[in-house]
Amino acid sequence: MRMQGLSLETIPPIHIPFRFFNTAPWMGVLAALVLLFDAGGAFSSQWSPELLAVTHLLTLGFMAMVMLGAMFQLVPVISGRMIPGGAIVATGVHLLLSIGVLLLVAGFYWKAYWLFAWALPVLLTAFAMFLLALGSLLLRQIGGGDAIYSIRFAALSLLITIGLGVLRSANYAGLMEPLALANIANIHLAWGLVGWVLLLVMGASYQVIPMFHVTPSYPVSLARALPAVVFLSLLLLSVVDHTVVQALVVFVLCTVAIVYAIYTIGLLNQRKRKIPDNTARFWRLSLVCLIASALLLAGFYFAGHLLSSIAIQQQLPVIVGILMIYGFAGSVIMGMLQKIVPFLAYLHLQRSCLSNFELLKTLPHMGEIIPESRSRWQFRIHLSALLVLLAVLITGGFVGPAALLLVADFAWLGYTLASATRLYRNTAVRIALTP
Amino acid sequence: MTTISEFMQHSHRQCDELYAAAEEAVANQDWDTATVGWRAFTSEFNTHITEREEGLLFPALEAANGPPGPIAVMRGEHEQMRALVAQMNEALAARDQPRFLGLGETLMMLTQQHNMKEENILYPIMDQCIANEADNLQRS
Repeated sequence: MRMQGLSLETIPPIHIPFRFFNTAPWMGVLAALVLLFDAGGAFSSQWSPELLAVTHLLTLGFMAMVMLGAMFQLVPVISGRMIPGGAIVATGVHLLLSIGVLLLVAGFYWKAYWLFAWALPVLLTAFAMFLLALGSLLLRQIGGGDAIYSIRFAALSLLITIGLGVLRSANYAGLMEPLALANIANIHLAWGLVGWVLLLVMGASYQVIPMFHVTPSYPVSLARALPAVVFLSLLLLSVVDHTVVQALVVFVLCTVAIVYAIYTIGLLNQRKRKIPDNTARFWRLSLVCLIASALLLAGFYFAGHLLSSIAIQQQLPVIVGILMIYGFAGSVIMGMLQKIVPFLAYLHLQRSCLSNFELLKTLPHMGEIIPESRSRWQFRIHLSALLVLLAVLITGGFVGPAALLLVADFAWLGYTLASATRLYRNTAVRIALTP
Repeated sequence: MTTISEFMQHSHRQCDELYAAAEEAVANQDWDTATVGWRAFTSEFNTHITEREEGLLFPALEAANGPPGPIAVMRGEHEQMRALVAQMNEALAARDQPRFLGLGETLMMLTQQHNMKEENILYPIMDQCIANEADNLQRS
């Protein structure tokens, strides 16, 4: 049993996760505004520059922003060790990521690809700082079990995704000759959405589903097999350029996603706490989206040639992308924030006045930091936005209402998190002023 | 023979179930059932942390040169939980449903992450260092 340097009380300062969480929703708002003002042109193709701007605002600006903030919080807690560099590294990563995303997205949106020459080094520095700080923890023999096991693969996938993204954008910016490997963008997409996002959500769920919802744990064999199979399949996809291998990998990845989603829904159905829970609702929605995108992707890959309409052939990848990014990852993130933010706020406040029971009684509890009704509305707005967005894509209708709902969804989240942060700050000041 | 880990993990699950029952009754505003259920939970909760852990296992582990840091942290978290339980007693007496559920959510999250640390780190150490205490646990 390794006990040296192991601390059970490694909780990073609250400003570290909160600065990431408070930035992310506004990147989502920006993505929705791009859709609103672009009025549908973005959806003309999976690779239209406007859609690439929206995609990267959502994946880097919203998803990666929250996930990095959460990892700065989660990894020290479950591994029992502080991240080297601590607050300085986290602050630097947050700042560079924010600037880098905006530069990259501006480059896509205005087709000013020379901006990539600025965006790339900034983003690279952000991720390098993050991976170096966290990698030094993840590579050591630390606790954390199945969660850390999957998160390690997720971190490696992030590294590969970034590497491939850099190659692509250097190519865009004219810094480099086009590579012979034509489907580099597809491989970048696979590593990003399946490697980084799915594996990170898996790792997080191993920890938080039993913990937040009081369900049985995932069996160790399944919890370890799923991420390993995903990672190896992606490796195979990247190095072997053969249609049979490609078909096999698509089949395996879709199967893993469906098995994981169904198993997790089963766990959620066994939760001991029977009271209605908005985070559990978000989880279910997200897992249904994961199943839907796996089925659609498999259907498109194996039977897409049977589709007569070119329009549908072009729309399907966009629909799968929306289901994965906004439906799957977006829902999990929104749901988890409804619990993590009030819990962290309460935990830090409680610690600052534990010896004073009268003061303790005046602390806002979780239900006051983010009221249940506000979370319930978040779910309703999010679900409506997703359904209307999918309807627009399927029918080819006007994108305006969907974009407005998206603005509302992210702005509601931003407002909720800002209010929670303000309540935390005011209470902390009140505690500090109490003799 | 049941190990310390097995015995204490089972006790955690029992607490979870008792808590879930009390919480459900509060959510349904069934105050009589809630009061009975909450009493059952707090009794098991106190037996677990006060008698079994702080009364028996922690001192035994300290006497066997166990790691002092993690034990101190566990004691600190017990204090945090006791503070929440005390506030929930008051909320239940006042039939303040939103306050009870809001505090309960916090207690549950605090408890679950606490249990995870005990089950993954502290109990396995106990199984190695003070295995003979398992008998005393079952007699307690």
